[in-house]
Amino acid sequence: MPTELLLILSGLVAGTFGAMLGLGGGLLIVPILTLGFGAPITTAVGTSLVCVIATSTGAAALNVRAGRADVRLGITLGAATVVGAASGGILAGILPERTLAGLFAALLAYTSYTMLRGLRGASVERHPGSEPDPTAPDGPGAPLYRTHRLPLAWAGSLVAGHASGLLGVGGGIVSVPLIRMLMGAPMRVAVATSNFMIGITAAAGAAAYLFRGEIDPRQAAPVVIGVTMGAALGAGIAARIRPAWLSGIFVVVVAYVAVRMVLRAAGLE
Amino acid sequence: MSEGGPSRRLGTRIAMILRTGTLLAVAMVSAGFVLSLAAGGEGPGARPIGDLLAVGGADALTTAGLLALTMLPLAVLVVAAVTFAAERERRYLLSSLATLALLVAGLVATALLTAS
Repeated sequence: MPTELLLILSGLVAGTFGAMLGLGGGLLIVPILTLGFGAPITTAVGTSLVCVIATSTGAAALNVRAGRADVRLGITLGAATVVGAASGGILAGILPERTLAGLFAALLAYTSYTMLRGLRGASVERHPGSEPDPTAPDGPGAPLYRTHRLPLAWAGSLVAGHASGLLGVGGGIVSVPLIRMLMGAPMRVAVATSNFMIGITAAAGAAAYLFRGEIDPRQAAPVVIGVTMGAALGAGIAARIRPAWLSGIFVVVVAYVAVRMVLRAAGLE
Repeated sequence: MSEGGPSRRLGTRIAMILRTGTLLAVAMVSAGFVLSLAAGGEGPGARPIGDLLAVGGADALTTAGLLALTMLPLAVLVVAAVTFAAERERRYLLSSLATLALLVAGLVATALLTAS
C-alpha cells in the first residue's frame, strides 16, 4: 500500500478516535508518525498539533451547530489553557521531565479511578442543582444542565494547559474529566466542549512549529486530510453512542496514557 | 455558569466559520497534496514557512492550507467577540478578547524569535 494512503488511513483513525473522545488525536499521531513512518519527534509533534486543530474545527463545526459544545464555557476555560500551555512550554526545557511525568501519571490514574467509580455507582452523576442532559436520547424538552465550580475549573484548566505544553499530551485528557466531573456537565457536552477548546490551545503551538519549519508538508497533508474526515465521523459517533460507553472508552484511554507516563517516569520509555 | 449551550446566533456564526474555514483550508491542503503527487519525486521536507511560501508550487499551497487551518481558532475567537459585543455579554466578550490577545501575543513572539 502506498505510504500516502497509509498516512490518510492513520489520520482517519486518529481523527475519529480524537473527535469521539474530545482528545484531538495527538495521542495516536505522534507514535504513528515516529514509530510507523520514521518521522523525527519534532516533525511528528508539529504535524500532530495541526491535526489536533483539524480534529477540533472539523468536529466543532458539527457540535456547535447541534448545540452540544458549550462555546461560552470553552472560551472561558480556553484562556486558562492557553496561559498554561505557554508556561508549560517554557518550563519544558527547565524542569526534569521524569518527575513531571510521574506526577502527571498520578493525576491520570486518579482521574481514571474516579471516572470508573462514577460508572459503577451511577450512569449519571448528580451535583447539587444539576439537571438532566439536554442532549441525552430522552432529553428533548428537558431543562438545561448547570455547570459548577468555575474558579476551580479555571485553575484546573491552567494545570491542564500547563501539563499539555510541558508533556506534549492533549489538553482533552484533563479537560474532559474536569468539565464532566468537577463542573457537572453531561459527558457528551464535556467531549464536545473539549473538542472546541483544544483547537484554541493548539493554535499557538502549531504556528510555532510551522514558523520554525518543523512540519513536512508532504507528510502532513495526507494525515490532515484523513484526520478531517475522521473528525466528522467521530463527532457523529459521539452524538449517537451511549454516554456510559463514551465514559468507559475514555477511562481505558486515560489508563493507557497513565501507564505510558509511569514508564516514562521510570525511564523505561 | 448556567448555560446549556451557545445562543442560536453565536452557534450559527461559529459553526459557519468553522465549516467554511475547514473546507477551504483542507481544499488547499488537498490540492497541494494532489499536485505534489502528480509532480512525483521527493519534496523539500520540513522547512521554515517563509522559505516554502517563497518557492511556490505544490508545497507552498499545502503550507498555506496548514497555516489557514492554524489561524482558524483565532477567526472563531474574533467572531465570538463580535457576537458577544453585539449581545452586550461583557463577561464573555472579555474572556474571548483575553484568549485572543494571549494567542496573538504568542504568535507574534514566535514569529519574532524565528525571524531573529
